[in-house]
Amino acid sequence: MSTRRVVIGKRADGAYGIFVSKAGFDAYTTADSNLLLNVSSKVSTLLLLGKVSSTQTIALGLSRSPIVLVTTQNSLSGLPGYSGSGGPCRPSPLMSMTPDGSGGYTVGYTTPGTATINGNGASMTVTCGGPTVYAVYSKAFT
Amino acid sequence: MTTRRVLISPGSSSPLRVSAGGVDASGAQFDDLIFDANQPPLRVAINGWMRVPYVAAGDSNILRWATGPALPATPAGAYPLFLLMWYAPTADPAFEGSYAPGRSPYGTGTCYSQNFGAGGAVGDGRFTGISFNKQTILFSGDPFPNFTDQTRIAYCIFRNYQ
Repeated sequence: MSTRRVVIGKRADGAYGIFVSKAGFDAYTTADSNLLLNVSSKVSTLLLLGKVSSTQTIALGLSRSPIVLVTTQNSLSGLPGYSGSGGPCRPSPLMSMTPDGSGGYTVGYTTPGTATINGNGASMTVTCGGPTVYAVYSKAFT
Repeated sequence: MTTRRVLISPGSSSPLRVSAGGVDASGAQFDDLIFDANQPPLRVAINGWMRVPYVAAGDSNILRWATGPALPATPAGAYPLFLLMWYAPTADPAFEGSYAPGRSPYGTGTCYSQNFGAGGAVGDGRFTGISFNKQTILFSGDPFPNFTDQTRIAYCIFRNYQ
C-alpha cells in the first residue's frame, strides 16, 4: 500500500486543505497529531508586513478592515543598566526613567505608534514619531 | 456552480489558494481564504516564558528587566515579529502562589493612579522582558500587596522579520 505524504484537497475525515504527514504515516488517513502541516483551520493570515520611519499612509487595496499591530522601536535607554540600542517594544509607549539628580527619577513616556484604517480597508495611516513596524492580519474566522 | 476549495494556478497571481467552506477559492476575499501562497505564513521560532522581578510598591525604580532567549538571526536593522502576554502574581489569598490570567502588556489601576504591567522588546540579539509599576503616590508596604514572587512573561517570537 502506498503511503501518501502530501494530500491536497479532501482528506478521509472530510476536511479540505493541504496536509503533509510525518514519515511513515498516510496523510490521507492519519490522525492530526501525525501531520507536520495542516492547512485547514480558520486562522489569521499575515497579509502585509512593513516598516515606516515617520507618519505615512499605505495602500492596502482591501474591501474589509483587517487587524493591524504596530510596534514602535524604543532605545530602552530608560531601563536602568541596560546596554544596547534596543528595538521594537511592547507596550508602546514604554515608560522611561531619567535620573533627576536627587537620587530619584523623572518618569516619562515615549511616543506610541498607531494605525488607522481608512475607507474600510482601502488604506491605513501609520502615525509614529520613529521607526515603526506594522503587521496586517486577516481577521480570524468566526 | 462548482465551489473550488483548493486552487492550484501556476502562472497566476497566486499559485495556490485554499478557501473557507462554501467559498470559491478563485475570487475569495482575503479573510475568506484559509491559505494563500502569496502571503508568508507566520512561522514560530521560539515560544516560552520567563521571569522578571516585580516592582515593589514604594520603589522609585519603576522598571525591571531581565534577559530572555537569543533571537533568530535577521538581517541588520530588522527585528523578528513577536507577541507577548504577562502574568502577574495575584494578591488574592485564595489564590496564593498562583498567577492571574494572561493579560495584554499594559494595565492601569484606579488605586493611587497606578500604572502597571509588563512587556518586552526585541533587539541587541535577544528578547528582553520588562515589568513596570508607576504610582502617583508612593507608599512602602500597605495598602499594596507585598509581592514576593516575580512577574512572568509569555512570549512568542516569529521567524518573520521586518
